[in-house]
Amino acid sequence: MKKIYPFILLIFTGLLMSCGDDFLEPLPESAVSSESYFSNDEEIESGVIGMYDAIQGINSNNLTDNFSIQREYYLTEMRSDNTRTKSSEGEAAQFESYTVTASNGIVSNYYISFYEIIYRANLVLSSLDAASPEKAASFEAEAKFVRAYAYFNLVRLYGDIPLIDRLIGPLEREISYTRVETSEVYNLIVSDLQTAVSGLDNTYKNRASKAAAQTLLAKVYLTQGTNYAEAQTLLESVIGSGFSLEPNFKDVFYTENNNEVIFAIGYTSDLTSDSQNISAEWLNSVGRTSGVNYVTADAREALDNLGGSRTPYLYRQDAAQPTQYQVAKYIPNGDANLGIAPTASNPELAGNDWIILRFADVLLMHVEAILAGGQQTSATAAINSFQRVRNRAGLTTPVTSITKEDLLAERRVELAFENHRFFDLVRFGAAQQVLSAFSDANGYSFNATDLLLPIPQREINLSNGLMSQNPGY
Amino acid sequence: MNTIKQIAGINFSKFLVAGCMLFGLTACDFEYDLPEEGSIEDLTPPEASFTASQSDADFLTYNFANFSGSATTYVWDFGDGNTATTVDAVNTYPDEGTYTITLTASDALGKSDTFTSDITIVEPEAPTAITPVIGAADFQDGPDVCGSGDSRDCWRISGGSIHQTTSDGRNGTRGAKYTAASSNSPRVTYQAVTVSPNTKYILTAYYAIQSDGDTVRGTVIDGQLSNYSEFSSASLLGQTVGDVNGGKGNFNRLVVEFGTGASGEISILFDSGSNASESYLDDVSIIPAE
Repeated sequence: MKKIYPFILLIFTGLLMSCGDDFLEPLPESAVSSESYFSNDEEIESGVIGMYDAIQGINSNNLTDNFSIQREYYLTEMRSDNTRTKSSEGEAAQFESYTVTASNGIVSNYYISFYEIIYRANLVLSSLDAASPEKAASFEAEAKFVRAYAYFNLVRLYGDIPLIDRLIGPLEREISYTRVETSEVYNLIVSDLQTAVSGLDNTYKNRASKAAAQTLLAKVYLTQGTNYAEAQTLLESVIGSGFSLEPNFKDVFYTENNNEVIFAIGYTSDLTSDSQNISAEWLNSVGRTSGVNYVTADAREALDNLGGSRTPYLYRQDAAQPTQYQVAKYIPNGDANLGIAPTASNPELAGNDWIILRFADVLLMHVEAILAGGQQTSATAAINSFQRVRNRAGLTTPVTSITKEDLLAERRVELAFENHRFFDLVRFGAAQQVLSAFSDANGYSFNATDLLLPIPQREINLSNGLMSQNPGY
Repeated sequence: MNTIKQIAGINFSKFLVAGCMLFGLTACDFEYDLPEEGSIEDLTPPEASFTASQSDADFLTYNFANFSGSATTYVWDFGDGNTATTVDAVNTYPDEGTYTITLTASDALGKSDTFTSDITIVEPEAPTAITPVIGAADFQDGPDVCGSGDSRDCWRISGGSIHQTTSDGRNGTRGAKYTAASSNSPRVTYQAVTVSPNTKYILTAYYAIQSDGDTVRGTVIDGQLSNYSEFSSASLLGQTVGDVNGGKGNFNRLVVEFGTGASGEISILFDSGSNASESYLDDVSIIPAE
């Protein structure tokens, strides 16, 4: 008994301690959990900025960093008939030749980057309880806009994808790896954007705005091929919101946040943490590559024929390699011939903003909404919007009717190299026809299954049998 | 085998390597094995699948997208006698009709799978614009007119005084009459109409006025009103003022050309200016411009 007594005392003390309410309180100060991270408006605001930081991507060549939209042109422009690599080498050239493999690092980097954006949006949404009543609605609207933006790109690139609409833990494998039908993903996108439209105003261009949400929602409706009248109404509301075309096409890309920009991702020159290397990679051996996103002969022909006064600012000859042609939008180190000043002292730390939505896109989508899936229109409102875009390019001969084909061609030229072409081809139902012909002419190996990217192999491996691959990979 | 035993007794280790090699050689020689020996089942047999989409340029041409898995060769039968062996395929059909498309996908092990789907080809009709029926367009009363017999019941709007009707209409039939400004509250003629969105239309009506400076006005409104008070702030698609003084009984044409927007729900409204004399309206119609 003499020996046992101290043990009993010890156990008793232990029981007393563990029964105390404050056993694990206050919350540890040296470690932060996601649930308690945002405790007031100011902190939530930092989470909101964090979402845009995730879209912006990291300017580095470290393959484990999330490049996000800084490498989006590989998956969109280089997979269309607009651009290709200069050297046709490596995994970068898989896109132009339609031989993308499931282990392609750029495909998986984009996938991871965009789920990071979704995670950060979900993080903001999970913290709304901590927001003041005045700010809660706008935080929600902003996070939902960003989440919808990310899902809209993912669903168009990868098809059926996991749908994560809240914070999840590492053990929730089911939701992380179960691919859901695209229609279900679109349901979330539409409801998120409807919330965004009603909760935002037009204060920002580098952050979500009402006009950006309306434009994106209209694009979602056009992509689904439903609600054309609703899309038209949304676009007419944006048209009436004070945006205008820059009189000079060049200024759209070299005057930041001009009146034509609806939503752009902001970059700051010469800051590693806040700049982009998109522009440098498009030059001859200035970035990591010897040059990517070079303009195809097919695109040059289209731009020469339909560009009007825009053509010089769409593409230019590569001075170092005169048989090659580069994109002339977003040049980081200036071009004296075109009257473009350098935007950064180091082109790899470029500050050119990346425009996601602009007014010319709205005007052309307005025509598309009026076409409503039909072959041609001569409605006055459609002609007016179409003519506005063409007039700026000096193509002032009045148009009396617009076919679907005219509209697709006009979009190709006006929005060339802004990562629209691939999505436009798919949305217009022309992708298989146009890309097969393009592929045959260039000896590439396009199949209809190439219209969806592969689910990254690493995801399939991690899913332990839950995830299946897209056909053709 | 006997040889190995004998040698092993003398110097096993010396000949072990040679023995193993001999063994290896024998083991690699499948010459006398049965053909099925050691082969395993084809665990990933082909799965045939495709989707068809109509071409924009020609309704008889279809693009076929091949979504088969685990296959290397494909045979398409388009159901019209044409065939193909490409991965994806395009076929132009001779005529309208229902065709059965069969895709047979095979792998190199001789397994195959077949997927069949029907398409029905119908020439798409050019969309025709709605030609709306205007209730009591000629302002005639009659047993079935506007559900009540009174032609004015087709033209009422709350908050506005309805026009009077008169036998001084166009061609001697009945028409609408607007009182002179001095005599009574202003009269309005309103009707909600459904037409096609994004289409050009022409609204035509006939008016007669008796004093210089008098007017009759026709307006097309984007949307439909529930009260006359909404008119002043309504968004208009078109408006024309008729001011040709032809005298009583001499009708002039009033034309409003307009294009509809996202919604085909519109309304038309006629009223008069601060007229010195009575004025008249008759025979309203809306037709598509093309």
